[in-house]
Amino acid sequence: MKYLLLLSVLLVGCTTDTSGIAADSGKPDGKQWLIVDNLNLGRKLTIIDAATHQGMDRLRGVATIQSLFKGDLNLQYRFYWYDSNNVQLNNATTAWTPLSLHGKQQIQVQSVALVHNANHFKIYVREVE
Amino acid sequence: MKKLVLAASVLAFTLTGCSTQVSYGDPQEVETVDVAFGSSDLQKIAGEMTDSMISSPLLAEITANNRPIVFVERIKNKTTEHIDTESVTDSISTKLLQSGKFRFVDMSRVNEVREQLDFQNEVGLVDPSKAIAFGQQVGAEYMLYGNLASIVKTNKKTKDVYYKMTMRLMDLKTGLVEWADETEIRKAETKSTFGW
Repeated sequence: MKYLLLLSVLLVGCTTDTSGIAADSGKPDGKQWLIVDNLNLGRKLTIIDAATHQGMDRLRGVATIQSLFKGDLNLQYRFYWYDSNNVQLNNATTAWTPLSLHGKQQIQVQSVALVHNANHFKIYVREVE
Repeated sequence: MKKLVLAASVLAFTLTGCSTQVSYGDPQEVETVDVAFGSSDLQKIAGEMTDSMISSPLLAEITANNRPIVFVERIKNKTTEHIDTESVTDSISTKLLQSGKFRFVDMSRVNEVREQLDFQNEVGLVDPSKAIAFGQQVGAEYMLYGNLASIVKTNKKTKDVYYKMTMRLMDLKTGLVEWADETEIRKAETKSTFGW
């Protein structure tokens, strides 16, 4: 029984937590909506603003990512764009982008919606193992 | 008997270790196999260049009431590695076309188009009233071109690669560069003394 417990602890130690934190610009009351899927990362990182601005004739999504940690963080972020019916716009959705944050650094990342029917975006940030 | 079971199980484990596995991955995943130009770099460059062209105030005037016709010249590869720059160009032009703000003429298919028009007009198999006549294509107004350069530094432990992609949009009538932007990528590979 003791060995079984030890083995399970070891196996859990091997699994990688690929979840992160997400913010949505389309919360009805206008406030940012932050989802922390990974508590460990949630203590080290936060998204303090996620908003859309009307650019020329395409929406521009801007999010501010802030490190609460004193060391370097190797992260990836991805923007997902949605229309007014909350349907994901695949052609406007960007790929995972690498991002390095130094201790307590705050950085603004942005994405422009490719198509004019984009309404809001969700940004997802996760840590690279 | 016990020895036989032990030997069989050892053999089974060894054979399992040798089997090849195929799996599907996320095409948008960040790829870090080595420091050479990879899929993540291509996606980053294409994304940033498209974002910049769509939202640039410099192009507000020319895209306000019409969709400019653009000819994409292949991006020049000035790095030391082999990079399929046509693929980078394709990604950028596809995204720009999807945005609905630009239109493109494809110079890489001119010979095929000429063959098809020759067939329609000269072979005699196509109804002449429905054949597409020569000389009706629309010429490009702008040319999109760019360079991809790299600086590579290596020492015993570290390899540092810096990529810089520059793109420009030129008005073919006046020769003026209406828009330009550049994007940078830095990648480093470190060999650890200990470890795997």
